Amino acid sequence: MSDNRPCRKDLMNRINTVSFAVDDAKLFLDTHPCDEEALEYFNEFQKIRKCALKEYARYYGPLTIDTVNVDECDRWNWINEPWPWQEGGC
Amino acid sequence: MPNYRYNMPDYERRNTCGNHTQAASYRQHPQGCNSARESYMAAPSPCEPVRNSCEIPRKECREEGEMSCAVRENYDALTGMPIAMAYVPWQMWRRIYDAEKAFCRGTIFEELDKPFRGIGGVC
Amino acid sequence: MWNYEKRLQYPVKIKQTNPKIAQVIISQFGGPDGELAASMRYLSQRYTMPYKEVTAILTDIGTEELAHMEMVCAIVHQLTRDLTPKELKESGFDKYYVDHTLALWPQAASGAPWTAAYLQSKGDPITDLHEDLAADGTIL
Repeated sequence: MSDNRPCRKDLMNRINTVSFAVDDAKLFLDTHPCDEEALEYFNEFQKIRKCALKEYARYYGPLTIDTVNVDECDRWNWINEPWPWQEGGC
Repeated sequence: MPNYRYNMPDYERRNTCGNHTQAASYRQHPQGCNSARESYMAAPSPCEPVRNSCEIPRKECREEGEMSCAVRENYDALTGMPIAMAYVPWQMWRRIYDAEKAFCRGTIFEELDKPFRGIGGVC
Repeated sequence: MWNYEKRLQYPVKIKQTNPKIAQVIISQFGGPDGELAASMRYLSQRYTMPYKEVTAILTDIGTEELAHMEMVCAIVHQLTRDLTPKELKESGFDKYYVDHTLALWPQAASGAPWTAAYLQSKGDPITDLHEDLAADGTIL
């Protein structure tokens, strides 16, 4: 087991936190589509989120269908447990 | 999406019951309340008729000291808006929590952080 | 129109089972003020909104309420893990268990099944937005 990879829990925490910011900004922008500050905020957090999701998929398996990489795997790992509501899940 | 707030200047909205012609008629009668009042009564308006005093814009009344009842009644942020409708203040992008606190509180907006107190309405 | 992410919006890690409180919390899943009703309300109303901003926000909030629903279900699921017959009987959870075992079934704490009567979608935008204010007012 490699020690170089980032801590799973920390990475998941970062994804959760940043994604929440993206979600709330998205809702605000739905009714304020021209708000520049909101657009900037969304952009900033969206970048971090995309990066974090890619990194997570690389070390721990995909969280989104868009980060699934069948080239690096010989099986369909999307079905892998734990699912989020299960013990050990997120 | 049209926002009714921006359809007329704030001052006009507050003091003409939403009726543009009224503002014009008031401006034509700077000499006094009665003439303004006559124009006001003549113009069609969704507002309640004034009972016993002039319908003076609030900022002019301030110099006279105490506010009359009619003025106090008219001092409502929604004066001039159509009646029998509910209005919701427009949210602004301000007082944003930092990301960790926001995640904990369930909102990035400090103004929407309304913790449940268990009894009674909003805190 | 839906993709999903394999994570809950906020992690749910219940350490101690508690079937008694699970019976109450299930209302937040299938009850009148629960997340299923909330998501169905918004996702139903969005088709007849005259402004794209409102269609967008109803779709996005409806989606978020589905995510909330998942978290509530995760809570109930974890609170009722591996219950013994004794625990089932003492907590009163046996009444739910006999019909559903440990499965999640949308109902209120009273046992009343979820129904579309918990929401309204009338097609008039002002009416529907008032319905939304009333429904989420129970949260605020």
